[in-house]
Amino acid sequence: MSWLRSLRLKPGDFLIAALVLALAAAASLPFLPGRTENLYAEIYQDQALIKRVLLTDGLHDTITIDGSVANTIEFDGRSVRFSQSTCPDQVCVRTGTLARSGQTAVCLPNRVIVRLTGGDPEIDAIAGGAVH
Amino acid sequence: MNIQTRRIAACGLLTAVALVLSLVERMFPLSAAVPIPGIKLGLANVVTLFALVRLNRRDALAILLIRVTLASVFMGSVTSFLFALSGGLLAMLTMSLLLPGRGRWVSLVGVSIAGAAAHNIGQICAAMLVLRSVYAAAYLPLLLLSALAMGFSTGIVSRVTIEHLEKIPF
Repeated sequence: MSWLRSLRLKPGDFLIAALVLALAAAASLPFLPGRTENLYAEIYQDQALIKRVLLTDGLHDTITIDGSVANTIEFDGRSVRFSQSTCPDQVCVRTGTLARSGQTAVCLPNRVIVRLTGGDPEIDAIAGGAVH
Repeated sequence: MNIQTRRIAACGLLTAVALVLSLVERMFPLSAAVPIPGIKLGLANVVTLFALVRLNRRDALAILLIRVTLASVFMGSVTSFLFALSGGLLAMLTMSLLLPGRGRWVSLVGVSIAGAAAHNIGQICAAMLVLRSVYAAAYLPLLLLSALAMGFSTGIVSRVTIEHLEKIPF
């Protein structure tokens, strides 16, 4: 443990680290996936809901959203993903596939948010997350 | 040398160092390995911490504002400017509140972790304002975990730098 002592940490350092961890845990609670039957993909652009799709097995569809860049969003069964984007950073594409309620993918250049929600009210998703 | 001249020279030097660190940081594409927008090492925070320890809050604030502005002019956008500004200011505020306890209650490592976490919280707050949506906060847990690791690393770097430079007048 001499390496740990060589760091010369103070009690406050551990307190700060613990606080950051606690904050991370607290911030993740509302976004934990809830158990829901009907899964909807909601697509927002500039804060407005532009499309709401019920995700069902066997669904296969893509839509393209234009703006300052173009995003292609692919629905595949009970999952959704940004399959293509003309933006330089590709953060939305690398976010990958969303398959559970509460998951979110964002394209900042296009101000597009894709969010999965359950058919149940949001409060249930929050409570469901806390129960797990 | 005139005290005022010395101060201006120190601020200019530190601003240049912070800018170079921001550039160097771009060569490590962390966000390519981890798909979280806004994840980065935060090396420029070492300069803010150094300025808070060795200069004063006013100079540290000036260095931060010039660095964030120039970094956006060189390689950013208006949005990235807002994120960097809100994150940088919140990080500086947090660290300047913690620094008086340095040596007794906290070390530079803890101060740096708190600064990194505050930076991410500031960033997310700006993102929520830009997107007008609370769902930008979905990235906060992962960013805070990264802040723990990044803040620790930059804290060690700060300590090595600051402790060595404390031996010479600056």
